[in-house]
Amino acid sequence: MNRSRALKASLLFAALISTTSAASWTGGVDNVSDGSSWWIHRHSATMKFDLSGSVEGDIAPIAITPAGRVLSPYYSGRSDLEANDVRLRERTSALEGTYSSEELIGLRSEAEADVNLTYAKPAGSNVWTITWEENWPVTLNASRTVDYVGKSINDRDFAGNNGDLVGASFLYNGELSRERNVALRLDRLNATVVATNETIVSADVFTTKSTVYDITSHSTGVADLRYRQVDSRGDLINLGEERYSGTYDITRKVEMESVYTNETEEKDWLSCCVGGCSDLDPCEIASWGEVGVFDCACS
Amino acid sequence: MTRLFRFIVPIACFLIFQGVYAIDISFSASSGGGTVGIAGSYDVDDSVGVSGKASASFDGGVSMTDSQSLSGSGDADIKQVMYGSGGADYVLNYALDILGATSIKGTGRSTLTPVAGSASRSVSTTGTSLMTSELSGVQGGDFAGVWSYGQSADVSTTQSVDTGQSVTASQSISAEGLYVWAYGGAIDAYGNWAETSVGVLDGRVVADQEVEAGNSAFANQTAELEGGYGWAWAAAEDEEGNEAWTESYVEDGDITTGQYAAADDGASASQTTVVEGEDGRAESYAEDDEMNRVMTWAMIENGTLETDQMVWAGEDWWFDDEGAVASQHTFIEADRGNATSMAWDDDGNFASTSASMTNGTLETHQDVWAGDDWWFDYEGAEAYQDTFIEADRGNATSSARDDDGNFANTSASMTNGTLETLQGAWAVEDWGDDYEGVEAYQNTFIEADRGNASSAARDDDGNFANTSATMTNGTLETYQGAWAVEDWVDDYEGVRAGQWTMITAENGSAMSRAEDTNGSYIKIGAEVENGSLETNQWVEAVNSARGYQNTSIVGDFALAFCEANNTDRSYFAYVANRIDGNASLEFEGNATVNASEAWANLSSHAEGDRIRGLATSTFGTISDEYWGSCNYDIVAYENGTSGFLAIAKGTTI
Repeated sequence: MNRSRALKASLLFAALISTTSAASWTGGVDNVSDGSSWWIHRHSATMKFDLSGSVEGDIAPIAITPAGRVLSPYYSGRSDLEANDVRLRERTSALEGTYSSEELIGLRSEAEADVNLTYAKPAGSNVWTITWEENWPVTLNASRTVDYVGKSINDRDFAGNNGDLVGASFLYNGELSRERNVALRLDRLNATVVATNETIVSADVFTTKSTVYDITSHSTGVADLRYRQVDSRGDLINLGEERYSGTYDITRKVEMESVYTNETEEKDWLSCCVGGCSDLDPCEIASWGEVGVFDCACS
Repeated sequence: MTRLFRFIVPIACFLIFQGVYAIDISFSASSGGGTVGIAGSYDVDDSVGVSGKASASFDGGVSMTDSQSLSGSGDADIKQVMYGSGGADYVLNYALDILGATSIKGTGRSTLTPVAGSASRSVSTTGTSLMTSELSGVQGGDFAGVWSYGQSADVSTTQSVDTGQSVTASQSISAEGLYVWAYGGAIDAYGNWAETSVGVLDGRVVADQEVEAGNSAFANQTAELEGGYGWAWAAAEDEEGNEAWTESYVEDGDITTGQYAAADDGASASQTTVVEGEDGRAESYAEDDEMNRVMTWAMIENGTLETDQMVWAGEDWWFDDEGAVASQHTFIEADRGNATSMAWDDDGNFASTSASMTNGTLETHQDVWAGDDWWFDYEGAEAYQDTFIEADRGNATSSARDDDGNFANTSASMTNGTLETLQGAWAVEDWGDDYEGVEAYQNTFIEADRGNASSAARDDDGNFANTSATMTNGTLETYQGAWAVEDWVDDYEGVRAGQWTMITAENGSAMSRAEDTNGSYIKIGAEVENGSLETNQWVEAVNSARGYQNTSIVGDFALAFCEANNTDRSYFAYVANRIDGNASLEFEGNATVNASEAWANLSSHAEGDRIRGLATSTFGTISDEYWGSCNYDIVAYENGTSGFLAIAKGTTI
């Protein structure tokens, strides 16, 4: 290894990118009566992406002119991967020191299946049910190790999956070693809007997905860890944020999963009630219970 | 531009006037640079059920299909836009507006790609206060759309639109009510347009319509309607301004029609129509960009009208000709019926032909033309008919007037019988060697209680010529005509009329008269009772007048005469033969009048119970009477200051 303060690195990358044309779709419901509006936009591709690589070296000043002008030593790297709202984002910047890392990424996505819209308003009711169904699966697996000793390193990442998010930020670390594994999977999406002539009553985006984020680290600066999980309406249901300033050894694994099936809802198979009871309050549909179901009778 | 605006307005209305209680549902998909989408706005009563399904596919490029259904009763206001972009951008628009329906049933389908789209919509309503259903498409500046409308009506309509190589729209409608109407229109990027429409007040309609735009425009429809007042029409105009339309309507009756209009290097329209009702009419009109115009129509009162009509206006139909053409083939059985065709050229030349009848049948072929450069440099207006009438009364007439005021007419009429005629009239310029003028001819056969055929011409200087044949209770066959011309051969101008006529009847006569600009005239004639008359007559007036006849008469009574009369200077010459009882007359005579003399003569062979020869002038009269068989040579002459009369008779035993 040449110690002439020049950056030396050994790199091994193997990447394969296979894509078809990107595909997207947009759905929306506007209620002219009260101006309420709901829209969704999805973007994906039938795609395969693999990356493997390693780097090892010294982050050191280098002379770039015969007169001896020296370029300050630094390392920076970034990666952004996204398919159908399944994301992995990484940012790293380091000052003079020794740096090594290994990374493995595999991304698979498909955007070939039909996207279906159904909408219905039964006669005798003012309730509209509008549903989009998407089967554009995505799988994203990524593992990464980082070892650094030097002046300072900032290393941040987060993994997002259709509203859910897990991430870590290591800032101002003189020493950092971390190992991270991410497994993201998206199976399908069902977006359902319930509206009346007066307003949009509800809008739910049901995604069947799982998110696994596993990290082991040793840090000497600031370590921020966070996660967020949302429900079908985008409302926050689980949240965690932690900050460790100092020297820490951290082990953390986060697993999040949402599974929605296409089971027939009670209000649907009791079509006589929904279709025949014109005074049905759509706001009560969400809390439709046994009493309501079996006491409902069509005259 | 006005028509384009009319097409755009419904689209603009869709964008601007969405219902205040509407729910809008949008769905679009993109891939490979192409986009397709559907947007719908729904303002429907609680009693109306709506369901739909749309599917976006991404295999081999993006595409979208949708299907939907509608059911229930009450009000529904639905607007949909379907579109594709990234190839040949297009937009399809659908609008359905229903008020107060006792029942509603509807379905729809669409298939969309970035370069082509198709959509179909079907809706049936009963007891509807008001309903409209509109489906249209626009692509690359080409537009086509169909509309259905019903007021206090039951309406069932299936509409479709396609884009791709061209934009087409079609609909099938079955409707009954106070007012129902269906319309299809297309206009291409260059301004060629075509439209078709059918409607009825207090009645029913069954119709199929189709329109197309794409470097040209076409519209056609087949329709059946019945009601208090109904109509159907098709029209087209090309980018040059050539225009054509065809139309039929009825009061208290029904129409069955097939109509077509096209704007494609010219404009044309045609119809095959049957009208049955109290009042009915079918008409067609064409006008080229230089104002050559033609029109043809047929009309009835209390009866049936069957007609095939065609009109065209444009250029280069055959070679370099341009102008307008119309034709009709019509059969009428009615209390009253009429078929007429007219032509006007851009210089003011005019020709028309017409046939009419009362209480009977009429069948006619008519053709008219107005234009320029027909064959070589020939231009003008022409009208023809081939007609057969069997009726209480019948008439056929043709006339022409040129831009200088020359006029010619020919006419045939009858009472209680049949009339068959082939006739025409034209007003032309540059026919042959600078010839211009007007002419009218007929070849007619009449078998009736009364019959008449006549032809007349008057030139722009006031010269006039007329020939006519009349009979009672018999047959009349005539070939006759009249013309007023200028620059014929060596600058000849004037008027002429002539006839060859054969009459077999209780009473019959054939007369010809020519009058010059000074009022001097010649008149020749022949009459028969209970027998036959065959005559060949002609007269002319060219600053003077002269005439000739060659006549054969066999009957109870015979008369033939020639008269020349200078009315300005009050002198005349008249010669005649008259036979009473068992008459047979072979007669040849001449008459001439000009500014200086009047002269008439005859040469005849006469047989009969009482034969008379006559010569007369202002100086006196001489006559001869005989029975049996004899030959006459009779002359009358006068020049204002002197004259003579002479009768020479030869007898045979």
